Amino acid sequence: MAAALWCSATVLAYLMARRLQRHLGMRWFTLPVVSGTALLLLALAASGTPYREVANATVWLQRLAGPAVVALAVPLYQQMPQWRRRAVPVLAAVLTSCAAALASGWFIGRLLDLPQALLLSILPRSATMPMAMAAAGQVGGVPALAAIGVVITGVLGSALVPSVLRRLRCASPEPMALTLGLVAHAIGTAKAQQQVPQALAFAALAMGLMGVATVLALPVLVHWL
Amino acid sequence: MPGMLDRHHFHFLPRMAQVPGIVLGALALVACQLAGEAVAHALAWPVPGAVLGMLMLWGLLCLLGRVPSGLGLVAGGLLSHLMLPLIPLVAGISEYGALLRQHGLALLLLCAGGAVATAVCAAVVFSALDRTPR
Repeated sequence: MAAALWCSATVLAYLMARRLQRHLGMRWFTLPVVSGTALLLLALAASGTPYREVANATVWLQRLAGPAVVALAVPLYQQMPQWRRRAVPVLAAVLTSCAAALASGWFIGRLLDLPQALLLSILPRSATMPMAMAAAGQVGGVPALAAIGVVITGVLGSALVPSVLRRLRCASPEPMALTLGLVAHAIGTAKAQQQVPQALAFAALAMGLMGVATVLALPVLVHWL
Repeated sequence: MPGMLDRHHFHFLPRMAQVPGIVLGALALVACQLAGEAVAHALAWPVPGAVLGMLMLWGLLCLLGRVPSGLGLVAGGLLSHLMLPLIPLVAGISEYGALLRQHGLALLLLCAGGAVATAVCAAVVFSALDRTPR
């Protein structure tokens, strides 16, 4: 009963969030995961339900995230002809920027004295959200906090990347799309679709590969530190 | 009322002939995830099984040389609503309000600094190695 109620409440919040996005356009607060979560939290507060109860009631809905991550293999496979000739530069960029994302997160986090659980959650912030949340949960972080890091990085990253690349004089379509996908996952890919649509496949590819690299590297880094 | 049950009202439903392929596609996704979880467990490697499952499916698609249509339909449907199953989990931030207020500025700084560092590495490495004629 509670399961049916809270699963449909979540779906309703999500559908309202999508409608909001169609009306207001792409802004950080109209991302379905941001406004949908806000609407769900509003329903929680209004009904005085503790979060634990909703978390338990929606377990089956949450489990759909697993097959959805597996499904990312399909677009990655379909886009292969578009980047196969550039596999070496693409893979090298993915590996170095994955290392840079994890290392910069670790050093800045240490410098600013973040608590361990928050730091572990925030490290996979350049991976796509379902992967980052799962990865953080696996190494002792908190999936919900990982989601915050992912959203902030996606929004700031897709705003900062174009001007950084212009300053480096690397602002041609392919490096722009690739970097947007690497730094800012799905939000960056949406930005690439607006700014450099001819190189969109690079952004989508970069998002998928960065997620995989981050998820595989994170446990190694955490174990090693 | 005439026309209420016309086919075009139900365009979002799959055609009967597509159903077996869709079921197989969904089973393939779940099977890959379970196989990925088994591997992660066997190697005692704390990575999400779904990501290993994704790599397995990618490998299988490369061997097969095409995407079966049922799998394509299920994958497309799941991916267009990738964020829906995450919403109840993200709502968990309601339990970390104090932590986020205390460290919010640090988080913003970390994400901005990290994004710039990551972007510089990505762009410099890609541009240095990319010799494809434009």
